[in-house]
Amino acid sequence: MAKAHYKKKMSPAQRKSLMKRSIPIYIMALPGLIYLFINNYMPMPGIVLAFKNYKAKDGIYGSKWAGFKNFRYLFSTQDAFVITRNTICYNLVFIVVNTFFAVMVAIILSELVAKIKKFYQSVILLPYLLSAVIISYLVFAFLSAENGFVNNTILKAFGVNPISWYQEKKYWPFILVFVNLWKGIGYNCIIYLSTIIGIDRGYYEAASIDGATKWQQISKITLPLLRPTIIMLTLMAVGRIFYSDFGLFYQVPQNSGALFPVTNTIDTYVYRGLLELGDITMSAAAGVYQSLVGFVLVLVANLTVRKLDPDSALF
Amino acid sequence: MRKKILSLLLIAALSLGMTTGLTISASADQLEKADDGTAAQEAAQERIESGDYPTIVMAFMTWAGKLVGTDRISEKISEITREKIGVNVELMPMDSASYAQNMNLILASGEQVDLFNVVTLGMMACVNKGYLLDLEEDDLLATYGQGIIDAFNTVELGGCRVAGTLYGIPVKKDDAAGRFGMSIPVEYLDAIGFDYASMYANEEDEIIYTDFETIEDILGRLHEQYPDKTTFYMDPTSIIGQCLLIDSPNDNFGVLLDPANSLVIEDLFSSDLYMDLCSRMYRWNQNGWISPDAITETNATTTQVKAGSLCAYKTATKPGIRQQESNLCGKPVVIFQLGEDFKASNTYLNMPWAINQNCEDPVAAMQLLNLFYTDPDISTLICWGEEGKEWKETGDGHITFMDGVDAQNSEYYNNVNWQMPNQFIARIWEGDSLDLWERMQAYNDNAVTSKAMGFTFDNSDLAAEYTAMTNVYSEYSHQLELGFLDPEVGIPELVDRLKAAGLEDYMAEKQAQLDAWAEANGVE
Repeated sequence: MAKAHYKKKMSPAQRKSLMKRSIPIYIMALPGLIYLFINNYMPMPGIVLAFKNYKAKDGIYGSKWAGFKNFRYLFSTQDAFVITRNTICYNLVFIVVNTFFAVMVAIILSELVAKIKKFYQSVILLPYLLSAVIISYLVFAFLSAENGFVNNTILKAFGVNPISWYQEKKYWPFILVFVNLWKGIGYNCIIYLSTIIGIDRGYYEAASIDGATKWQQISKITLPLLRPTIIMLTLMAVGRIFYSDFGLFYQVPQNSGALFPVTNTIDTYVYRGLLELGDITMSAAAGVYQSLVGFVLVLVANLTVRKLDPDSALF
Repeated sequence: MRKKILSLLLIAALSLGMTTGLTISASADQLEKADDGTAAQEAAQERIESGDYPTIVMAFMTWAGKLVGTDRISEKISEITREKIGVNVELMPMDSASYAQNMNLILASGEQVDLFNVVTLGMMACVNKGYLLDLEEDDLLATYGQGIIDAFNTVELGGCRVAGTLYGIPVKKDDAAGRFGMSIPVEYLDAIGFDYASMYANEEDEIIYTDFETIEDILGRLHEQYPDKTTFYMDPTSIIGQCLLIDSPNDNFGVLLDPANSLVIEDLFSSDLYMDLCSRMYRWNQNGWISPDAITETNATTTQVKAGSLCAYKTATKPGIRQQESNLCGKPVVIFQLGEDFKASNTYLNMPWAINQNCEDPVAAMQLLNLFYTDPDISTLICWGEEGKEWKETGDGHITFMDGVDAQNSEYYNNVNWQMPNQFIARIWEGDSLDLWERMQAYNDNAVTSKAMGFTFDNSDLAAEYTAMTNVYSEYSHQLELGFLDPEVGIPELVDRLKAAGLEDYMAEKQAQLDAWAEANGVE
């Protein structure tokens, strides 16, 4: 819909005036762009580190080339499959679950009275602002084998034997998905909520005059109008599918060895392996690998979207 | 179109979120050429006369980051060093949790740190990355570090060499460690009516040498007496290193099981030694002596004892250990020891002081380091702080906290004297015997010494195997060594997976390097 507007041919004068009107918006974007440039573009030449045999004395560019030697550790092990599987599968589940609940919560919030909405929004946003270390201890307060809330209150009430949560890997895929959802939902729903608020109320008024139920309004007006936002945010998430939230996978399971088969991801593997080696070229190799795969995945995902629905594609 | 390009850039930026420090300026300055014996004095004199004092930044690790009194102590030390060698000192303590990370960034980025302790950074890693200055280049040590040479014997300095090059100066500390020490507060032993007093071999001893039977008897009775307390816990990161008399060059993947007599690299994890340890812990765990939360425990052992939730824990022993642990626990403890005193091959390489290859004035840095090894006033300042602020004389030769000052509110109480260049010449704290350092020297001299003393293993060509094995080992280590997993099941699994991760190749390489080292150093 919105795209049609840009596709219209504009006269040079029209274009000029559009540019002029946009200047304040570009200025507003400037701090963000500068940040992006400093933080994300300036360090990019550092990618060469991944292919170097780094010596501080010779500097980054003076050090000898090492070919793909620094990448070898990521692939030459029996764990390569497990960590890749964990990273991708968790992220896929996160994308689906988080999107579903974030949209749901956003719709519910949008239906609330303004005052209560503010309150709920703040409350569900709070966990997002907590550090992973604090979250890990909140989780521990629930799951500790000896003093935890779950073992001592809930399971006791039902007469179930205490469970050593940090030794039983079968529960953790669920725990991690839940914790991630609880932590992120307040933040994830913000963009959806702002999109919903931006929808012209006229649509809903017209619909209710025609006798549409609440459910019909949601499924026929809100969701279709949310679709571009959902697709955009999902594409962004796909780009980070090879990364994992280090705090979630390292801190929350308390680094318990028994849980590695279900909690070891590329990031935690690299961290554990390099903790003592402290080799920056190997960690740079992991970063390059994750970035490139993420980049390719975004291009592929966007291509697919463009094939199916050209208007929603990001680029 | 513009929108397309912008969004493409945005995606690219999001995907390529690289965070790598980039500012590297790694040209080592030319060292000044030393000429004769008076060069040291001349260099100092020249600086003093010019009135332009270089500032030497000195980094080390602490438990609580930079304490408020640090800058004051830097200035106090500088007052002495300005007068003696024309140098200013800036102490740069960093928190243990981030020391290695920060130092790696500083060393890689060329930020100023002239002298630093290699603790937790790994000597081999630093050498491989070219962070360290060769201390004997242009006779730097011989010309400007005579006091350092006098403070050590050749074995000690030799133990700090990596492939024949001296990159660091060891600290004066306990070079050996008593294996499998056990610390138990006096009050708990009294409560179960255990007579420890008669067990000391000599009246002035601080350690009781005993066996597992006795310890297990004590733990059983403690468990009965205090069912609500955890009976036993040990920090899972140091179990192998502090319990077993083995030598682990660089890591536990391939060790010397009989380090005093043999130079054969063997697999620790399929050895009886490891099986015995894990079986014992499994039994202790089955007895209920180990907390079900032990694997996720993050409080230090001594903190738990202080809080009253723990009865006994493992510690490495050395002269002064009883006082040290009593201080940390906040109550007097009795120290038992089950193993022998052992000096491992890496003891001098653990935490030497090194000069950054990027250092602008290596001569001044070396002269300053020399002063830290020879000047008691400076050593006392960096170990204990300032007289009249942090500590006072007790009258009998000791020093102690100033009135109203304690470990919590002191402005400079780092508790890392073992990391300081020479604590042997600093003042002695109340509670330690005045002959502590003589006893320490005797202890160092008498301990069982590894045949591979001074050997370092370079695993840079096997980094992939190392990473894989580290991941496998950390999956099993805490479960096995704290007795949560039946060793009959767990150990074979661990060994299989380590082998699949390349343990045999790794051990073969270690053996090859060790053989080459032995031949070069004439060790049989």
